[in-house]
Amino acid sequence: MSLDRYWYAPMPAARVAVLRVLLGLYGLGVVAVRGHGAWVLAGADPRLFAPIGVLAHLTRPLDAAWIQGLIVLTLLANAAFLLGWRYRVAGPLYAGLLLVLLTWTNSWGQIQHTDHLFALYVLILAAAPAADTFSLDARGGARRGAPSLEPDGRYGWPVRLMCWVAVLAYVLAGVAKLRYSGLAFLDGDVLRIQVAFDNARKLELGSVASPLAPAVLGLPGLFAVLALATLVLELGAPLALLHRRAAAVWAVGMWGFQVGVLVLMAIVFPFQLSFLAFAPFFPVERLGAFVPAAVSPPGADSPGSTP
Amino acid sequence: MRHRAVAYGVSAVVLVATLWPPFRDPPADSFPLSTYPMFSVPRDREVEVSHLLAVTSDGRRLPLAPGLASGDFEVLQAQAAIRGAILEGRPSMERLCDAAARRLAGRRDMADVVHLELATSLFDVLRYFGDGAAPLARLVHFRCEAAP
Repeated sequence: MSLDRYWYAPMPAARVAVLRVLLGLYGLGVVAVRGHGAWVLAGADPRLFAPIGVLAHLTRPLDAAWIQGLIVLTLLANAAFLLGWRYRVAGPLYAGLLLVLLTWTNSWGQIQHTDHLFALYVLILAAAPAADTFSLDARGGARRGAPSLEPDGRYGWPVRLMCWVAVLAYVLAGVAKLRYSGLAFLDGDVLRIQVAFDNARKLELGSVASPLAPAVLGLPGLFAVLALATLVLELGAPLALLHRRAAAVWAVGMWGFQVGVLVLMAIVFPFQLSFLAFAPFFPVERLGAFVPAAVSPPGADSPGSTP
Repeated sequence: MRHRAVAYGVSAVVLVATLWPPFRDPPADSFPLSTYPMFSVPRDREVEVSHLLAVTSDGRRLPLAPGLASGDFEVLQAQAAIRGAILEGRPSMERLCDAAARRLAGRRDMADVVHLELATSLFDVLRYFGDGAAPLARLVHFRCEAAP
Protein backbone atom coordinates (compact mmCIF):
# COMPACT_ATOMS: atom_id res chain seq x y z
CA MET A 1 0.00 0.00 0.00
CA SER A 2 1.42 3.40 -0.91
CA LEU A 3 1.82 6.15 1.67
CA ASP A 4 -0.85 8.19 -0.08
CA ARG A 5 -3.36 5.32 -0.13
CA TYR A 6 -2.76 4.79 3.59
CA TRP A 7 -2.57 8.35 4.87
CA TYR A 8 -5.14 9.85 2.50
CA ALA A 9 -7.51 6.89 2.70
CA PRO A 10 -11.14 7.80 1.98
CA MET A 11 -13.25 8.02 5.09
CA PRO A 12 -16.77 9.38 5.57
CA ALA A 13 -17.18 13.04 6.41
CA ALA A 14 -19.39 11.92 9.27
CA ARG A 15 -16.49 10.28 11.08
CA VAL A 16 -14.43 13.42 11.47
CA ALA A 17 -17.58 15.45 12.13
CA VAL A 18 -18.73 13.19 14.94
CA LEU A 19 -15.23 13.40 16.42
CA ARG A 20 -15.65 17.18 16.31
CA VAL A 21 -18.99 16.93 18.14
CA LEU A 22 -17.60 14.54 20.76
CA LEU A 23 -14.56 16.70 21.42
CA GLY A 24 -16.72 19.82 21.43
CA LEU A 25 -18.99 18.35 24.10
CA TYR A 26 -16.02 17.19 26.17
CA GLY A 27 -14.42 20.58 25.68
CA LEU A 28 -17.35 22.35 27.34
CA GLY A 29 -16.55 20.46 30.54
CA VAL A 30 -12.82 21.09 30.18
CA VAL A 31 -13.26 24.81 29.62
CA ALA A 32 -15.64 25.08 32.57
CA VAL A 33 -13.36 23.20 34.99
CA ARG A 34 -10.04 24.53 33.75
CA GLY A 35 -11.58 27.97 33.36
CA HIS A 36 -12.34 27.98 37.07
CA GLY A 37 -8.80 26.86 37.79
CA ALA A 38 -7.44 29.53 35.48
CA TRP A 39 -9.46 32.18 37.30
CA VAL A 40 -8.11 31.02 40.69
CA LEU A 41 -4.57 31.13 39.30
CA ALA A 42 -5.08 34.72 38.18
CA GLY A 43 -4.92 35.59 41.88
CA ALA A 44 -2.01 33.30 42.72
CA ASP A 45 1.41 34.41 43.97
CA PRO A 46 3.17 35.67 40.82
CA ARG A 47 6.44 34.20 42.09
CA LEU A 48 4.98 30.75 41.38
CA PHE A 49 4.45 31.58 37.68
CA ALA A 50 6.59 29.28 35.47
CA PRO A 51 5.37 29.87 31.89
CA ILE A 52 5.76 27.11 29.31
CA GLY A 53 4.81 26.45 25.70
CA VAL A 54 3.13 29.34 23.89
CA LEU A 55 3.34 31.45 27.06
CA ALA A 56 7.06 30.83 27.63
CA HIS A 57 7.94 34.36 26.54
CA LEU A 58 5.90 35.98 29.34
CA THR A 59 7.88 37.60 32.16
CA ARG A 60 4.90 37.99 34.47
CA PRO A 61 1.40 36.48 34.78
CA LEU A 62 -1.47 37.78 32.68
CA ASP A 63 -3.84 40.21 34.37
CA ALA A 64 -7.09 38.82 35.74
CA ALA A 65 -9.10 40.77 33.13
CA TRP A 66 -7.24 38.98 30.32
CA ILE A 67 -7.93 35.61 31.94
CA GLN A 68 -11.60 36.46 32.32
CA GLY A 69 -11.80 37.42 28.64
CA LEU A 70 -9.92 34.29 27.63
CA ILE A 71 -12.34 32.04 29.51
CA VAL A 72 -15.42 33.69 27.98
CA LEU A 73 -14.02 33.69 24.44
CA THR A 74 -12.93 30.07 24.72
CA LEU A 75 -16.41 29.04 25.85
CA LEU A 76 -18.01 30.89 22.94
CA ALA A 77 -15.52 29.42 20.46
CA ASN A 78 -16.16 25.98 21.97
CA ALA A 79 -19.86 26.36 21.25
CA ALA A 80 -19.15 27.38 17.64
CA PHE A 81 -16.73 24.45 17.26
CA LEU A 82 -19.31 22.02 18.65
CA LEU A 83 -22.10 23.30 16.45
CA GLY A 84 -19.86 23.61 13.39
CA TRP A 85 -20.75 27.26 12.87
CA ARG A 86 -18.43 29.40 10.76
CA TYR A 87 -16.04 26.49 11.24
CA ARG A 88 -13.23 27.79 9.02
CA VAL A 89 -12.77 30.57 11.57
CA ALA A 90 -14.23 28.97 14.71
CA GLY A 91 -12.15 25.79 14.46
CA PRO A 92 -8.71 27.42 14.47
CA LEU A 93 -9.93 30.13 16.87
CA TYR A 94 -11.13 27.54 19.39
CA ALA A 95 -7.93 25.52 19.04
CA GLY A 96 -5.80 28.60 19.66
CA LEU A 97 -7.79 29.88 22.63
CA LEU A 98 -7.93 26.43 24.19
CA LEU A 99 -4.18 26.09 23.78
CA VAL A 100 -3.59 29.38 25.60
CA LEU A 101 -6.07 28.55 28.38
CA LEU A 102 -4.65 25.10 29.07
CA THR A 103 -1.06 26.33 28.79
CA TRP A 104 -1.90 28.98 31.41
CA THR A 105 -3.20 26.36 33.86
CA ASN A 106 -0.02 24.31 33.33
CA SER A 107 2.32 27.27 33.82
CA TRP A 108 2.46 27.26 37.62
CA GLY A 109 5.28 24.86 38.40
CA GLN A 110 3.46 21.60 37.75
CA ILE A 111 2.51 20.15 34.37
CA GLN A 112 -0.61 17.99 34.47
CA HIS A 113 -0.69 15.48 31.62
CA THR A 114 -4.45 15.11 31.56
CA ASP A 115 -5.17 17.50 28.65
CA HIS A 116 -2.26 17.04 26.23
CA LEU A 117 -3.96 14.56 23.91
CA PHE A 118 -7.24 16.48 23.94
CA ALA A 119 -5.49 19.70 22.95
CA LEU A 120 -3.59 17.97 20.14
CA TYR A 121 -6.79 16.38 18.79
CA VAL A 122 -8.52 19.78 18.72
CA LEU A 123 -5.53 21.34 16.92
CA ILE A 124 -5.72 18.59 14.27
CA LEU A 125 -9.47 18.97 13.79
CA ALA A 126 -9.05 22.74 13.49
CA ALA A 127 -7.01 22.16 10.33
CA ALA A 128 -9.45 19.58 8.94
CA PRO A 129 -12.84 19.85 7.17
CA ALA A 130 -14.60 18.66 10.33
CA ALA A 131 -17.83 20.59 9.76
CA ASP A 132 -18.80 19.39 6.28
CA THR A 133 -21.63 17.50 7.92
CA PHE A 134 -23.43 17.41 11.28
CA SER A 135 -22.98 21.15 11.57
CA LEU A 136 -24.83 24.41 11.19
CA ASP A 137 -22.53 25.23 8.26
CA ALA A 138 -23.52 22.01 6.48
CA ARG A 139 -27.20 22.60 7.22
CA GLY A 140 -26.92 25.98 5.54
CA GLY A 141 -25.02 24.45 2.64
CA ALA A 142 -27.69 21.77 2.11
CA ARG A 143 -30.36 24.47 1.96
CA ARG A 144 -28.25 26.22 -0.68
CA GLY A 145 -28.04 23.00 -2.70
CA ALA A 146 -24.45 21.91 -1.91
CA PRO A 147 -23.59 18.43 -3.30
CA SER A 148 -23.84 15.41 -0.97
CA LEU A 149 -20.58 14.10 0.47
CA GLU A 150 -18.69 11.02 -0.60
CA PRO A 151 -15.96 9.37 1.50
CA ASP A 152 -12.75 11.17 0.73
CA GLY A 153 -9.13 11.28 1.79
CA ARG A 154 -9.55 14.80 3.11
CA TYR A 155 -11.65 13.25 5.93
CA GLY A 156 -9.27 10.33 6.36
CA TRP A 157 -5.96 12.05 7.08
CA PRO A 158 -7.07 13.84 10.29
CA VAL A 159 -8.31 10.54 11.71
CA ARG A 160 -5.04 8.83 10.76
CA LEU A 161 -3.07 11.66 12.34
CA MET A 162 -5.06 11.55 15.59
CA CYS A 163 -4.44 7.80 15.85
CA TRP A 164 -0.72 8.25 15.25
CA VAL A 165 -0.46 11.06 17.80
CA ALA A 166 -2.18 8.91 20.42
CA VAL A 167 0.12 5.97 19.69
CA LEU A 168 3.26 8.13 19.73
CA ALA A 169 2.25 9.68 23.06
CA TYR A 170 2.05 6.27 24.69
CA VAL A 171 5.26 5.05 23.06
CA LEU A 172 7.05 8.12 24.40
CA ALA A 173 5.65 7.36 27.86
CA GLY A 174 7.08 3.84 27.64
CA VAL A 175 10.42 5.13 26.38
CA ALA A 176 10.53 7.60 29.29
CA LYS A 177 10.17 4.74 31.77
CA LEU A 178 13.08 2.86 30.18
CA ARG A 179 15.15 6.02 29.89
CA TYR A 180 14.86 6.85 33.59
CA SER A 181 14.85 3.35 35.08
CA GLY A 182 16.15 0.98 32.43
CA LEU A 183 14.94 -2.60 32.54
CA ALA A 184 14.91 -2.32 36.36
CA PHE A 185 11.46 -0.79 35.84
CA LEU A 186 10.23 -4.33 35.31
CA ASP A 187 10.97 -5.42 38.90
CA GLY A 188 8.05 -3.23 39.99
CA ASP A 189 9.82 -1.21 42.68
CA VAL A 190 9.69 2.07 40.75
CA LEU A 191 5.93 1.69 40.32
CA ARG A 192 5.36 0.55 43.93
CA ILE A 193 7.30 3.46 45.40
CA GLN A 194 5.52 5.86 43.02
CA VAL A 195 2.12 4.61 44.20
CA ALA A 196 3.22 4.82 47.84
CA PHE A 197 4.72 8.29 47.35
CA ASP A 198 1.66 9.66 45.61
CA ASN A 199 -0.77 8.38 48.21
CA ALA A 200 1.37 9.34 51.22
CA ARG A 201 1.86 12.84 49.87
CA LYS A 202 -1.86 13.26 49.23
CA LEU A 203 -2.74 12.11 52.76
CA GLU A 204 -0.15 14.41 54.34
CA LEU A 205 -1.44 17.32 52.28
CA GLY A 206 -5.01 16.68 53.44
CA SER A 207 -6.22 15.46 50.06
CA VAL A 208 -8.02 12.37 48.78
CA ALA A 209 -5.92 9.23 48.39
CA SER A 210 -6.73 5.74 47.15
CA PRO A 211 -8.49 3.62 49.80
CA LEU A 212 -7.06 0.47 48.14
CA ALA A 213 -3.45 1.58 48.16
CA PRO A 214 -2.58 0.30 51.67
CA ALA A 215 -3.73 -3.23 50.82
CA VAL A 216 -2.16 -3.32 47.35
CA LEU A 217 1.18 -1.94 48.52
CA GLY A 218 1.54 -5.05 50.68
CA LEU A 219 1.80 -7.14 47.48
CA PRO A 220 5.21 -6.29 45.92
CA GLY A 221 4.96 -9.09 43.34
CA LEU A 222 1.82 -7.51 41.90
CA PHE A 223 3.79 -4.43 40.92
CA ALA A 224 6.18 -6.44 38.75
CA VAL A 225 3.14 -7.67 36.82
CA LEU A 226 1.72 -4.15 36.57
CA ALA A 227 5.09 -2.80 35.39
CA LEU A 228 5.30 -5.42 32.63
CA ALA A 229 1.71 -4.75 31.57
CA THR A 230 2.39 -1.01 31.48
CA LEU A 231 5.39 -1.36 29.19
CA VAL A 232 3.65 -3.87 26.91
CA LEU A 233 0.68 -1.52 26.47
CA GLU A 234 2.79 1.58 25.94
CA LEU A 235 5.55 0.21 23.73
CA GLY A 236 3.08 -2.06 21.95
CA ALA A 237 0.78 0.83 21.04
CA PRO A 238 1.88 0.87 17.35
CA LEU A 239 0.10 -2.48 16.92
CA ALA A 240 -3.16 -0.55 17.23
CA LEU A 241 -2.40 1.06 13.87
CA LEU A 242 -2.35 -2.27 12.03
CA HIS A 243 -5.91 -3.49 12.36
CA ARG A 244 -9.18 -2.39 13.94
CA ARG A 245 -9.37 -5.47 16.15
CA ALA A 246 -5.86 -4.82 17.47
CA ALA A 247 -6.88 -1.21 18.08
CA ALA A 248 -9.90 -2.36 20.09
CA VAL A 249 -7.82 -4.71 22.25
CA TRP A 250 -5.18 -2.04 22.83
CA ALA A 251 -7.74 0.69 23.58
CA VAL A 252 -9.50 -1.46 26.16
CA GLY A 253 -6.16 -2.41 27.70
CA MET A 254 -5.04 1.20 27.86
CA TRP A 255 -8.37 2.24 29.34
CA GLY A 256 -7.90 -0.46 31.96
CA PHE A 257 -4.47 0.98 32.74
CA GLN A 258 -6.10 4.38 33.36
CA VAL A 259 -8.68 2.74 35.62
CA GLY A 260 -5.77 1.23 37.54
CA VAL A 261 -4.17 4.66 37.93
CA LEU A 262 -7.49 5.95 39.29
CA VAL A 263 -7.89 3.03 41.69
CA LEU A 264 -4.29 2.99 42.97
CA MET A 265 -3.48 6.69 43.01
CA ALA A 266 -6.85 8.51 42.82
CA ILE A 267 -5.50 10.30 39.73
CA VAL A 268 -8.08 10.99 37.03
CA PHE A 269 -7.23 11.17 33.34
CA PRO A 270 -10.75 12.09 32.19
CA PHE A 271 -10.01 12.15 28.45
CA GLN A 272 -8.77 8.56 28.57
CA LEU A 273 -11.34 7.36 31.12
CA SER A 274 -14.16 8.73 28.97
CA PHE A 275 -12.68 6.63 26.11
CA LEU A 276 -12.63 9.74 23.90
CA ALA A 277 -8.84 9.47 23.63
CA PHE A 278 -9.39 6.24 21.68
CA ALA A 279 -12.40 7.39 19.62
CA PRO A 280 -10.37 8.04 16.43
CA PHE A 281 -9.62 4.31 16.21
CA PHE A 282 -13.31 3.45 15.79
CA PRO A 283 -16.09 4.11 13.24
CA VAL A 284 -17.71 6.79 15.40
CA GLU A 285 -19.86 7.97 12.48
CA ARG A 286 -22.31 5.32 13.69
CA LEU A 287 -23.03 7.67 16.58
CA GLY A 288 -24.33 10.14 14.02
CA ALA A 289 -27.82 8.85 14.66
CA PHE A 290 -27.69 10.57 18.05
CA VAL A 291 -26.63 13.97 16.71
CA PRO A 292 -29.57 16.41 17.04
CA ALA A 293 -31.51 17.11 13.87
CA ALA A 294 -30.78 20.83 14.20
CA VAL A 295 -27.20 20.21 13.07
CA SER A 296 -27.85 17.17 10.88
CA PRO A 297 -28.14 17.90 7.18
CA PRO A 298 -31.24 16.52 5.45
CA GLY A 299 -30.44 12.91 4.45
CA ALA A 300 -27.26 12.82 6.58
CA ASP A 301 -24.45 10.53 5.27
CA SER A 302 -24.48 6.81 5.56
CA PRO A 303 -21.29 5.44 7.17
CA GLY A 304 -19.66 4.76 3.80
CA SER A 305 -16.34 2.96 3.56
CA THR A 306 -14.70 2.23 6.91
CA PRO A 307 -11.07 1.17 6.58
CA MET B 1 -4.19 19.21 -4.70
CA ARG B 2 -4.57 21.93 -2.08
CA HIS B 3 -6.28 19.50 0.28
CA ARG B 4 -3.38 17.06 -0.03
CA ALA B 5 -0.84 19.80 0.58
CA VAL B 6 -2.62 20.80 3.78
CA ALA B 7 -2.97 17.16 4.83
CA TYR B 8 0.69 16.29 4.43
CA GLY B 9 1.95 19.63 5.68
CA VAL B 10 -0.08 19.57 8.89
CA SER B 11 0.63 15.88 9.44
CA ALA B 12 4.38 16.31 9.09
CA VAL B 13 4.47 19.27 11.46
CA VAL B 14 2.32 17.56 14.10
CA LEU B 15 4.23 14.26 13.96
CA VAL B 16 7.63 15.91 14.17
CA ALA B 17 6.45 18.19 16.97
CA THR B 18 5.03 15.25 18.92
CA LEU B 19 8.32 13.33 18.67
CA TRP B 20 10.57 16.32 19.32
CA PRO B 21 10.50 16.87 23.13
CA PRO B 22 12.60 13.83 24.14
CA PHE B 23 15.24 14.77 21.58
CA ARG B 24 15.74 18.25 22.93
CA ASP B 25 18.93 18.76 24.92
CA PRO B 26 17.97 18.49 27.73
CA PRO B 27 14.63 16.72 27.13
CA ALA B 28 11.88 19.17 27.98
CA ASP B 29 8.36 18.52 29.19
CA SER B 30 5.82 21.12 28.15
CA PHE B 31 2.26 21.61 26.90
CA PRO B 32 0.84 20.31 24.61
CA LEU B 33 4.14 18.72 23.55
CA SER B 34 5.59 16.42 26.19
CA THR B 35 8.11 13.74 27.05
CA TYR B 36 5.24 12.05 28.97
CA PRO B 37 7.35 11.30 32.04
CA MET B 38 4.40 10.27 34.22
CA PHE B 39 5.27 7.55 36.73
CA SER B 40 8.73 7.18 35.14
CA VAL B 41 11.19 8.91 37.42
CA PRO B 42 12.49 6.62 40.19
CA ARG B 43 11.77 8.14 43.58
CA ASP B 44 13.46 7.69 46.92
CA ARG B 45 11.54 5.87 49.59
CA GLU B 46 11.99 8.90 51.80
CA VAL B 47 10.03 12.03 50.90
CA GLU B 48 9.76 15.46 52.48
CA VAL B 49 6.33 17.05 52.66
CA SER B 50 5.78 20.65 53.70
CA HIS B 51 2.30 21.00 55.12
CA LEU B 52 0.05 22.88 57.47
CA LEU B 53 -1.04 20.77 60.42
CA ALA B 54 -4.03 21.39 62.65
CA VAL B 55 -3.09 20.43 66.22
CA THR B 56 -6.01 19.34 68.40
CA SER B 57 -6.38 19.59 72.18
CA ASP B 58 -5.35 15.92 72.56
CA GLY B 59 -2.19 16.40 70.51
CA ARG B 60 -3.30 14.90 67.22
CA ARG B 61 -1.84 16.51 64.11
CA LEU B 62 -4.22 16.62 61.13
CA PRO B 63 -2.99 17.77 57.71
CA LEU B 64 -5.17 20.61 56.47
CA ALA B 65 -6.84 20.17 53.07
CA PRO B 66 -5.36 22.34 50.30
CA GLY B 67 -8.32 24.71 50.19
CA LEU B 68 -8.07 25.37 53.94
CA ALA B 69 -4.26 25.49 54.04
CA SER B 70 -3.62 27.88 51.17
CA GLY B 71 -6.95 28.79 49.59
CA ASP B 72 -5.98 26.80 46.46
CA PHE B 73 -7.87 23.55 45.98
CA GLU B 74 -5.19 22.03 43.75
CA VAL B 75 -2.88 19.90 45.90
CA LEU B 76 0.46 20.59 44.28
CA GLN B 77 -0.19 24.29 43.95
CA ALA B 78 -1.14 24.42 47.62
CA GLN B 79 2.12 22.68 48.50
CA ALA B 80 4.03 25.13 46.32
CA ALA B 81 2.43 28.02 48.20
CA ILE B 82 3.34 26.45 51.56
CA ARG B 83 6.93 25.79 50.48
CA GLY B 84 7.20 29.30 49.12
CA ALA B 85 6.07 30.78 52.44
CA ILE B 86 8.64 28.69 54.32
CA LEU B 87 11.43 29.81 52.01
CA GLU B 88 10.47 33.46 52.27
CA GLY B 89 10.61 33.49 56.04
CA ARG B 90 8.60 34.53 59.07
CA PRO B 91 6.36 37.30 57.63
CA SER B 92 5.14 35.02 54.80
CA MET B 93 4.65 32.07 57.13
CA GLU B 94 2.70 34.28 59.53
CA ARG B 95 0.44 35.49 56.70
CA LEU B 96 -0.20 31.95 55.46
CA CYS B 97 -0.86 30.60 58.96
CA ASP B 98 -3.18 33.43 59.95
CA ALA B 99 -5.12 33.19 56.69
CA ALA B 100 -5.61 29.47 57.27
CA ALA B 101 -6.73 30.11 60.85
CA ARG B 102 -9.36 32.56 59.55
CA ARG B 103 -10.63 29.90 57.13
CA LEU B 104 -11.00 27.47 60.03
CA ALA B 105 -12.91 29.90 62.24
CA GLY B 106 -16.49 28.81 62.81
CA ARG B 107 -16.06 25.36 61.27
CA ARG B 108 -17.58 22.72 63.54
CA ASP B 109 -15.19 20.02 62.32
CA MET B 110 -12.26 22.21 63.38
CA ALA B 111 -13.66 23.26 66.77
CA ASP B 112 -11.08 21.14 68.65
CA VAL B 113 -8.07 22.66 66.85
CA VAL B 114 -5.92 24.72 69.24
CA HIS B 115 -3.14 25.84 66.94
CA LEU B 116 -1.63 25.37 63.49
CA GLU B 117 1.89 24.26 62.65
CA LEU B 118 3.72 24.95 59.43
CA ALA B 119 6.07 21.99 59.20
CA THR B 120 8.27 19.89 56.95
CA SER B 121 8.01 16.18 57.68
CA LEU B 122 10.13 13.30 56.40
CA PHE B 123 8.36 10.01 55.65
CA ASP B 124 9.40 6.55 54.46
CA VAL B 125 6.52 6.04 52.00
CA LEU B 126 6.61 2.23 52.16
CA ARG B 127 6.73 2.15 55.96
CA TYR B 128 3.92 4.72 55.92
CA PHE B 129 1.55 2.06 54.63
CA GLY B 130 3.19 -0.76 56.55
CA ASP B 131 4.14 0.18 60.10
CA GLY B 132 2.24 3.44 60.41
CA ALA B 133 2.20 7.05 59.31
CA ALA B 134 4.57 8.54 61.91
CA PRO B 135 7.23 10.74 60.29
CA LEU B 136 10.90 9.86 60.49
CA ALA B 137 11.57 13.49 61.38
CA ARG B 138 9.63 16.75 61.55
CA LEU B 139 10.77 20.36 61.62
CA VAL B 140 8.19 22.93 62.75
CA HIS B 141 8.92 26.24 61.05
CA PHE B 142 6.09 28.32 62.50
CA ARG B 143 3.17 28.02 64.85
CA CYS B 144 0.05 30.19 65.13
CA GLU B 145 -3.14 30.12 67.16
CA ALA B 146 -6.19 28.54 65.56
CA ALA B 147 -8.39 31.53 66.33
CA PRO B 148 -6.40 34.74 65.56
